[in-house]
Amino acid sequence: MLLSVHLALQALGFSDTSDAELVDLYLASRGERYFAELYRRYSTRVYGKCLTMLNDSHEAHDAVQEIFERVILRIGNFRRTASFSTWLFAITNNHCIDRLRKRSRSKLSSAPVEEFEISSESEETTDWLEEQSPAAIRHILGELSEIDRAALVLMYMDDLSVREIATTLNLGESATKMRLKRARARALKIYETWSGRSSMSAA
Amino acid sequence: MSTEPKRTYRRSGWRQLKEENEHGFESNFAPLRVVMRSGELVGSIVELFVSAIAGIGRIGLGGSPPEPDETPGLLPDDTNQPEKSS
Repeated sequence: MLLSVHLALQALGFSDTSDAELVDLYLASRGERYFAELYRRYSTRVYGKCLTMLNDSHEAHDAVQEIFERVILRIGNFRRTASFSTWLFAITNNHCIDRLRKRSRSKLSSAPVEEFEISSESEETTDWLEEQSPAAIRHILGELSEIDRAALVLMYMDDLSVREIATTLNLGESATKMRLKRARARALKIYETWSGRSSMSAA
Repeated sequence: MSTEPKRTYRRSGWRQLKEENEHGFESNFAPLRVVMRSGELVGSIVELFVSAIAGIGRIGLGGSPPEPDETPGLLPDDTNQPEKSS
């Protein structure tokens, strides 16, 4: 059965082939072309995700290679309980967070978590971050600490719930809520400084 | 009532940034080809090793020889039948 599908696909290309079918065909035949098609479909998006999380294009390129290597080695463990893309982006998130943790160990240890006082104002202005321009978001993410950046990206870019963010960051739910709250407060400070500077330079 | 469309609209800056960050990717599949081939090679070696172990077990090398079947009456022919005294 798979052989006939394989031969038909060779003639037709992969435009009508689902990700799950490509995974099955790759597992059955170890044919490079099936994995190459999955890479073609997702590598750009994985790169975009890595660049947003890691904020460094060289590191993002390295991460894409490592993520797809990990996928090759673990593809036999892929269960159909979620889609291939969900599985791939979960691996991407975990990989980026591992990299951020390694990178930030020294930085975080020198920066206490209670660096900012959380005012009630930051609670009320929760949604301001949803309405920012790409330039403002890029600046804010570039200035935040590694883990704060990851938490906000997971929330605002990936639309993950607090529970999903907690699982990805390997934190409890209340710790995640606190992390998000602090990250937003820091983001607000960064934004105020940046927008003040921008308006001064425009005047 | 779902709030999803509103949220998507509100987060348009985030979505735009996501799309902008996807530009500039340089595709490089060659190193992955090497990983796939080395994976296949390791798989073949493991398969060969398992086959070798199974083969050794089958021909009885490295273990005690199979015990002769001394239970009478199990063979389909009459060779184990006691001789008649007449």
